[in-house]
Amino acid sequence: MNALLGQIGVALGLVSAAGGVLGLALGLALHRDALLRAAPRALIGLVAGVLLATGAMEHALLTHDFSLSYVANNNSRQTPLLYDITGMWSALQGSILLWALVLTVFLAAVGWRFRHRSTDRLVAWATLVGLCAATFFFGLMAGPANPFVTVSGTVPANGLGPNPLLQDNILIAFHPVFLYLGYVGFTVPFAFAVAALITGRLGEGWLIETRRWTVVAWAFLTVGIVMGAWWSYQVLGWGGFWAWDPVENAALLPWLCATAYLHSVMVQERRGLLRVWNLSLLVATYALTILGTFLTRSGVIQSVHAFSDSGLGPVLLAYLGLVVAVGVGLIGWRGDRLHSPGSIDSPVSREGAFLVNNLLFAAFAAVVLIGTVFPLFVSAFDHQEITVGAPYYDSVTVPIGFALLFFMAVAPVLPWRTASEGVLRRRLAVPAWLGLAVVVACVIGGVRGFTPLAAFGLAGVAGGSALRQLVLATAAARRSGAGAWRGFVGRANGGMVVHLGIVVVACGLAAASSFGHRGTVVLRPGQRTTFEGHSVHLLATRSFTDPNRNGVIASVVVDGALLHPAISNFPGQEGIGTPGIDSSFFHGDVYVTINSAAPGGRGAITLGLIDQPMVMWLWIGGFMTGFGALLAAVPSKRRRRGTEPVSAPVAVPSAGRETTALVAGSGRR
Amino acid sequence: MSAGRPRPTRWWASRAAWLALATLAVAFLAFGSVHNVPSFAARTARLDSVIKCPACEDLSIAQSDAPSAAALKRRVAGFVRAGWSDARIESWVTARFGLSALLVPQQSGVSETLYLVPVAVVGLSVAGLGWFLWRRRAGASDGAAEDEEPAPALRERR
Repeated sequence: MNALLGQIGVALGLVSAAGGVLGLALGLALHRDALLRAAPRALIGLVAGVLLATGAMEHALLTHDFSLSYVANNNSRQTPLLYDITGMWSALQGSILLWALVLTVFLAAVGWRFRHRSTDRLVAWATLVGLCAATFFFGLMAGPANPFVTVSGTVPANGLGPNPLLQDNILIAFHPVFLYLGYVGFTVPFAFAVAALITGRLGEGWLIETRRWTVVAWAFLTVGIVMGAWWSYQVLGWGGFWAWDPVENAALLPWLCATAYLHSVMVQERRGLLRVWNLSLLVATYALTILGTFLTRSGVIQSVHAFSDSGLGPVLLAYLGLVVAVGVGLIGWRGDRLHSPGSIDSPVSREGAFLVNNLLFAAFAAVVLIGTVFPLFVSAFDHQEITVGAPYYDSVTVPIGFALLFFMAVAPVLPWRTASEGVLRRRLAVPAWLGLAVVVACVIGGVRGFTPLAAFGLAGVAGGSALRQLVLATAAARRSGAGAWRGFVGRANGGMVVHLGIVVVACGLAAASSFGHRGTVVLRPGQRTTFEGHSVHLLATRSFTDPNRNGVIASVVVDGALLHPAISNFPGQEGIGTPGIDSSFFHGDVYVTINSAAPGGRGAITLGLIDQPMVMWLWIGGFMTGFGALLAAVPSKRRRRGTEPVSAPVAVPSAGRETTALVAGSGRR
Repeated sequence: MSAGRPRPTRWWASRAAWLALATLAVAFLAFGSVHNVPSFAARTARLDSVIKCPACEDLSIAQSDAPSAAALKRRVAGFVRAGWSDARIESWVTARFGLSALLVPQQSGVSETLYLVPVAVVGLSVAGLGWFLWRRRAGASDGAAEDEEPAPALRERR
């Protein structure tokens, strides 16, 4: 029954998406407004289809319907309820269903938002592009990634259960969902970019239409990445949070491109510059989300995060190729209409800083991309297995990170067009002295090492710069009677909260990667020791048996805090460690794992101990960043004239000579 | 004071303050960095960070508590004590575990290519930036600043 309902749901979604594409294509080709008005109703079928398929899958997981191959392979009668529910995205086919669900939610939201503009060709083309993406993903589910395939032969009495790493932490319920909300959310700006290129409406109208969609997708992706790091820290038992693993890199790449875009788009809105660059960044961002899916789901790379291995690679690669070809082809086709009307007046200006910031983000992304795919090329062409790991990424990205921190400090105080030396000196004085105070305090406090000191100092300057903007904005808001909280919302002010979040993350990264210590101790119950100044007292160990696993759990008191590290054996996979973590904002984390224990937990056990400062800053800073992005998406109550976007003329070639025309999106917004 | 040429004393005071700030920053950064001298611990830490844990997917032996990683760490420490150079230790590791046992490729050509890419990207970026800025000569502009400071009352004079 679940299989049948699921298949019907997938088929309904596929037919609706393809029908919507056909209807819109005909309406656009034949200039039939009636078709353009009717075609978006396909979204209703899409929503119904995906809800039916999702409901069938969840019902199958909750009722342990092992007649479905997916459920038999990723669920068992011993799986706890939470992991029954999250089982939908614990393997390839289910995660494609999650992708389709999230994509449908975004497309439905776009359809609702622009419901009164269905005959606007820009909106129609954007909807068509979104429905093309939906057709592809529903097509995957109808073909090579069908989550509703039934088992052949006898239905097993019990299933294999999910991967042990996917049933050990509550973050499985959030991290993939947030990551997909980010990944899939970039479909909306990509669709509008393609629509703008096709319709030739290359002014700033479509940028303004999609601004909040992009910011919201970026916020989700940011929080998704941070949750992934947090999950890795809590589940994988190695005490780290980022290993430059190919799958981690695959999530970072679109984030880097989207971050560059969020800055450079302001230059286009304000000055009409960087049109080709912005379109390229949007195409790259969407293409990199597909690349990430390809790397995660195709099995071409070895990764602790690659939870599936399938023959889906060629299909995803073909879709990636299509996305890139369409994007690059359209930009090339419209190249003559994308010339900027002017140029940057002075490098010492807001747009100059954004330009350099974009080049740095591009360099960062290039480094991460080349490091990720380089082993694949060497293996393919040189038949050698090589590894590109943290030392490479650290050595190249840390200098870029420093440069980004510097520009994060300087850019917010710069006016547009040009800045005098006096302005810079006055506006940067307080942030710079704050940065110096941080360095002095750190040195007096015993912090040593150029890299962490420089990072803390630059973070102090960047933090001071962001705080300065927020203080001025809240003061202005209070004076205008709007309430001080208005000083925190809107793109400029929310952006400063994002900067503060990044500053906190930068401090956490610098400290955790510079000052961590690790060691092992062998203790019997009742014994005590000290590690890097922390008292460690093993109270007791005992064996445990849960429905889905068994193992040994210890009671360890670290600096007065009672922790329970464990080591578990799941069916088919043994020795999965669950750390005990004593977290403190100021003193850092003490991370305790059981490295080895005798069966039954009797006798001495080997504890792994990691003393790592300021790890909590990463999580706090990450969520501040996501929250700041949401603040940036909140509309300001009253736009000032100085910040109103300026739609610069777009060159329109005409017979014999080139004229200019103001081409913007629809006035209804 | 209205916008215009600043008083010479304030002009010098402002520059002196920035000079003092820069001097103090350099001094404290230099003082805080002096401990970074090569030592046995620093050498083994660097080597441990570039040697891949044989039992792991993508961790170094410095990051792993796996028994094979611990054993390799002991061997590396022994080699350092015995006076082996870093290159000799890395060669021993690749001879024993293969080229992929190092987290940074060492073979000739591959490593250079990997590091040349960011250099090329930065080089092209700088060239592109230069071209972009050179183009500004052609664009007519009054060069007037457009400020977004949220508090007009607090705007500085330019």
